[in-house]
Amino acid sequence: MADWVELAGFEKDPYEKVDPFRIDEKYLSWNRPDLKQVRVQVDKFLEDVYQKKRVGLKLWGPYGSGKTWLCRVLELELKKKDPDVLFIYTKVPKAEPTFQVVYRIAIEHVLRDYFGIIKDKVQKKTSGVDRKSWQQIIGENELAIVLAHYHTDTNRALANKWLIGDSLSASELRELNVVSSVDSDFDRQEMLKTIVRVAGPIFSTVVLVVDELENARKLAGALGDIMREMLDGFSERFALVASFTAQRAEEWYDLGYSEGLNRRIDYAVGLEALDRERVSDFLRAHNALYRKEDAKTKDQLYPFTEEGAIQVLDSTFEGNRYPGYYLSNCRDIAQIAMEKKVVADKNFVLKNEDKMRFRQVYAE
Amino acid sequence: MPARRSAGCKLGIEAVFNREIRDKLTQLLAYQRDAPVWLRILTPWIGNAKLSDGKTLLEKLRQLINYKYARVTLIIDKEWMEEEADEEEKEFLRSLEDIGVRLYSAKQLHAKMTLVINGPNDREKSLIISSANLTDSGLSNLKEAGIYVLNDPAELFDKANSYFTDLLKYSEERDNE
Repeated sequence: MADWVELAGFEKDPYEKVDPFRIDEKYLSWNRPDLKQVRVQVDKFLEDVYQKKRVGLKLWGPYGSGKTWLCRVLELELKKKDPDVLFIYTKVPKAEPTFQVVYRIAIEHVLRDYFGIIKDKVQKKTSGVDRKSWQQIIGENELAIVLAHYHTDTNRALANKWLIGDSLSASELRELNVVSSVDSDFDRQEMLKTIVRVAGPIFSTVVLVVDELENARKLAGALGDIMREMLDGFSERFALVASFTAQRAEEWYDLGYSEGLNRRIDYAVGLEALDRERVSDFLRAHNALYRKEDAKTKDQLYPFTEEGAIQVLDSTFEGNRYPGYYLSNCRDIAQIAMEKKVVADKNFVLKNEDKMRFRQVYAE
Repeated sequence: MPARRSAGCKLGIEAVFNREIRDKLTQLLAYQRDAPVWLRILTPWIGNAKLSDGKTLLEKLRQLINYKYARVTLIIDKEWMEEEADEEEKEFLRSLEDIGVRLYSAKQLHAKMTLVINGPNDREKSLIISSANLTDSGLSNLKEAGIYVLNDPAELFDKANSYFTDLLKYSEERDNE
């Protein structure tokens, strides 16, 4: 751990850019007191999920505004109230925006985070681990056969290959006792629907998050159709979160998503820039998650003062006043403050603002 | 301490004719614009026209996308795209998509409009509505007329933006047809 982190009384660097889906859940909590309207919309969405309705949420904001963070917070809040939710996270990767990859990320997420829960439930309900036990729970389909292989570790690698939508040779298919691979986008789409359907006896509801929709480009039309069909195909116990990077809601159409899908979405949430009046509350809440229990400081803003926290925002480039950039700038200042063993008040921030990566631009 | 950049901005409506339209378009596409840049273009026909600074449309858009992370959306006429555009023009459309322009088509499109919203908090808004297609003929040779609007009135920008959004809702993406 870096010295400045230790000196500031943190367990780990609170300002480091991290993937919210790779971070310990103790470091995540709702920390945007300035986004009252967003919170209202999010609460309504969560309430619909608890009530097992079919519901859609559209989520947008610029880079660094906290979209993926909000998705993860949604997952944690949902699970706190209802541990039986199946929360599937996937995204459209910029490097390879194909449905095959979107599908694979979704399945890998399920296998990594939920397979243990699923197999325990199957075992509890059927007292077995074999193909019949799986078929009893999720029906007479090839998915049950492959999941039994995956469960019992017989041909697990092959089962994994089938599950994530790769092509299998005829001999590999024979080994798994199945007829076909899930190797076309149509098959993958149908499998995604099957997973949501067969999750019924095991989970209370399924939430599918599709993040980074802005990367879809030529896939946008087809991906939009798949999301629309899923919303149409389930009358209950299914929630969709469609998340994309944009400055404004109507970029949805520029990105290639249809009005048809838009009409099926119940809630829309735009993540706005940090509010100057509430930014110290934001930073206090954020710091508190990372603070050591035995830290000497009583003030969770430390190493910033109230005015220091506000000044970091004022010194942040106007177009970047979002959590991702703001916290990066906090890191640049906190590091220097701790090296000099001083608190970061307004004057200190002003004196060192040129060290901030995303600083405000001044006219010549 | 140096003075902070002024949040104030210029206002104005100007009638523009013939090559003045090209001059204004060149200004609108200057990569020096403050990020983020949001650019929406309506033009039935399009070609890799040469602009007033000697650069081509493709070069200007590439600069904006690469250096200012501009999001550029273009709607062209469906019939022109499918039936009338020659190989060179089709190649140009592919080049636009390759650099990241989002390309759509709409039936019976005749409107010509370029809308740029840029800078933090949408500080600057510029709009050209004119008779000129974004082609060498339209921008350099033909008798064309239009208006150029900077920042105000807000209702005009809202209306132009809504018109574009409505067209997008009912347009078809080239590659999904």
